[in-house]
Amino acid sequence: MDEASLLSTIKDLASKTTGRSDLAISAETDLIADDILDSLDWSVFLLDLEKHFDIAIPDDVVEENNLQVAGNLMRHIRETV
Amino acid sequence: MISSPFEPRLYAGRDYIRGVDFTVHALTGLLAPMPGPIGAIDLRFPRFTTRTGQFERLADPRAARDAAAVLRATMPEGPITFAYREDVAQAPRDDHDPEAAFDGREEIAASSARIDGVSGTDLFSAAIFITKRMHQRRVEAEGKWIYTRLRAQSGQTLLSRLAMAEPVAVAVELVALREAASSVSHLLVDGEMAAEIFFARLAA
Repeated sequence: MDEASLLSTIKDLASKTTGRSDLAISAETDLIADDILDSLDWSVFLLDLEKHFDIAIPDDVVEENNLQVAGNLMRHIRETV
Repeated sequence: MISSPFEPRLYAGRDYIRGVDFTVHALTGLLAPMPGPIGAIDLRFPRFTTRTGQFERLADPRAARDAAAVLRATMPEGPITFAYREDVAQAPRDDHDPEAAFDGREEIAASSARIDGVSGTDLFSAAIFITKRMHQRRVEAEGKWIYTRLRAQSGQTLLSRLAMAEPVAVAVELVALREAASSVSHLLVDGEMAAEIFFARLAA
């Protein structure tokens, strides 16, 4: 899966979670620090992401790899799927 | 600004206003009076509250950020957002436990649960009650499971379900569980998918 397609999926799932269609997300975006998702959104977003890609993303992996940054998340998905 | 006559209460044994009450009020008090059809809805409870208040319709959805409950709905004229604004008064206490009526009537399996003969606005009390029980059975981790969010493709369908007088079968199916800490379940009414229910676990 190429980067543009992954980023588009992340954006779609974040839009589904927040109910907002105006989200500006790039590989550098920190989904929490940049005010895209709050902590409840983040939990729902990860559930949707795990369902979509049929993967598990444990909390310690999230922390160790700083997966709230979209670029890190994309890299992790590419390596896992 | 539109305000609503929502009258929150604190029930016996709980120290926060029930999400079920927010849900029923959001559907019957906020959305039902609006010109339909009501499309997708998303109701979230980012944090607990014990205070009285009212829902306000927001011109800017970003203003909902610190609210205890936020409703987003797709209407014919576009998306709308309501946020619960608390005042300083504590919600009054009520010894009546609305979920107690369902105790003993539920059928619980590992990843599903059901209860029959539920009608009207009791639907959500029953759904949340059996979802909690299913989580307690399914996830052997200490702590308390709480209802944090409801998401549905059609608010109109949910409203019509709440308006039905005939008893229905309410079932939930656990479809995703993350780290024994958060989950999504499907709410089925008479076998038809009606909404997604999100739960989170508060560690003991």
